Amino acid sequence: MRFFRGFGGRLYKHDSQLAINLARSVFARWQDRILALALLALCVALLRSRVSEMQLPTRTWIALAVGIALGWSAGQLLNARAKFHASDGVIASDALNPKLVRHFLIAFHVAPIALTIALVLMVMPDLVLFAVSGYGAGAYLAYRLAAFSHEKNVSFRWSAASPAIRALLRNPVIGAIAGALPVFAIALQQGLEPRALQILVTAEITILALLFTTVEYPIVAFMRVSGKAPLSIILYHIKGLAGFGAVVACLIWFGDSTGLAVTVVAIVLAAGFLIAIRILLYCIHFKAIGDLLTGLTIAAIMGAVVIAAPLAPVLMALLVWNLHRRASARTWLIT
Amino acid sequence: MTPAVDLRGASVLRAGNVAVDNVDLMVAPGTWCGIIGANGSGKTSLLRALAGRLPFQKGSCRIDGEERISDRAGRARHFGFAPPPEMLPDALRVRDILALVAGDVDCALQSVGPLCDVLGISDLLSRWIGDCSAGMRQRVAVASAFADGKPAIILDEPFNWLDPVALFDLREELRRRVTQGLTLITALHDLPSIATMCHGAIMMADGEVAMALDSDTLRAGAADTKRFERHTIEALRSKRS
Repeated sequence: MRFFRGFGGRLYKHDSQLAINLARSVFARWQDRILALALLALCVALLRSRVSEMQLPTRTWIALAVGIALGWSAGQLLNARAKFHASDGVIASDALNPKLVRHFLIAFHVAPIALTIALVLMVMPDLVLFAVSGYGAGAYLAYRLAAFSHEKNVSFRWSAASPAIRALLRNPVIGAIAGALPVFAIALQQGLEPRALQILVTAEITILALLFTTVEYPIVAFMRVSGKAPLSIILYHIKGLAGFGAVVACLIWFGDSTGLAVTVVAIVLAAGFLIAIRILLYCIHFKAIGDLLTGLTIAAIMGAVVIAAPLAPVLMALLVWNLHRRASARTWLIT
Repeated sequence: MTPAVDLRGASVLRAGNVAVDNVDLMVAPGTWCGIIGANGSGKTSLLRALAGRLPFQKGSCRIDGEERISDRAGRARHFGFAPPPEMLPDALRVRDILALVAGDVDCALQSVGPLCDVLGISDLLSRWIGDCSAGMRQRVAVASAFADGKPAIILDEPFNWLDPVALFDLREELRRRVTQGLTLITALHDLPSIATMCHGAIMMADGEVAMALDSDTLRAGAADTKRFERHTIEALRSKRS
């Protein structure tokens, strides 16, 4: 630890201290820690039994994909932190020194790599090398993309999109217009096999639905301290998605693709769930913890879907109910 | 004498828009330079670019005679800068922030010196940033600018949210430091402070320098602050319309 603090410099010291304090705050009560450990053990055991039934090529791809996803996510997060330090941090001079930033990134990747190795060792120990290679590839890709965007002075981060575009995504009319797009796409792709068409349309609808899940922390925080109930904050953010979901589901339904309509409704409900828990967590915690807990919640729900799909909706409903109760208690409160 | 800061034709872009356009500014060492202007006139962008937090798009930026227009890191190393108080991380304590800037908290307190008492920093050391009020955050942000003993400091509206006693004491302490050789550049909205404290000032409007106020003008303003305030407000109003 001391070596990494020396090697990673002040930037590493700053963010490692911040991460430790955030983790302490999230798991402040011993009940939370025991529950998290129990859930982790349960997930690992169930994933291990599921994965062991799979063929080697499938498991290899999964290990690689998990590694890439983790490497990419960690890389993106660290690049965002370096950018924050350079513009708004107290040690900007370090964040503007490329050598110190490289040291910070290398030192900070050690913990997520160790976590990836530990997880893969527990679930599929024979494929650790694939997962680590995937992590390296994902992290490198994120680093190159950030370097490119810095050199060319362009931004690929969605949060950098203009407030006007983000406001449009909360507009039900825009949602309804976007909802018609996949239907045009279906009309254009009629030559495809039904299975391929279904996969393509599902992917299009998922990407479009995710566009409508943008939630801005300052808006949530402002509405909460202005006395808006959590439900009305959710309704304010969900209008674009609702317009999108309603139109696309109706068009597909009347186009006689009932199976696809059910898939669309499921995707839109999942996107709505994502918006709702992010808003509720933003009402309860400040942004960093809200984002962290949203990620953990999504991972837990995906785990539940893989392990016992029928239980997932019950778990989601219970989660929303519990978070809504806690978020309601924070209405009007400034701190 | 080599100017501490010599900006010529400097421009800054923010979100693709020109926030600062063709600004000239000269600051002598050991003086206090004030920047005034309406909200959105480009004061903060100019200060952030000077402190290396934003790139300059074009122009010349000589610091102690050395060209640093393309050297953001060099500018960030040269100036002590108070970050926006709302950007201080909630999950760190005040002592952590100061220790990170200076290496350890004792060095930081030594560099901040009498400002520690003025800002009440000793009482805040163990407090989480997340538990600090707006005024407390402002005190911490100002202290962090002084924590590693830089000879030139940039502060963006340092008196915001401070109570009257802290405001008065901070103003006096800053003035004392300037007489001891500190170069200070601040954005201010308080016109009497500009007249009585600053050795030079610029008024910004729409990203440009609308008026430069030299030491004679400010000295005359300090002798009759009400008149100075009235004239400056009229000038600001005419630029707005």
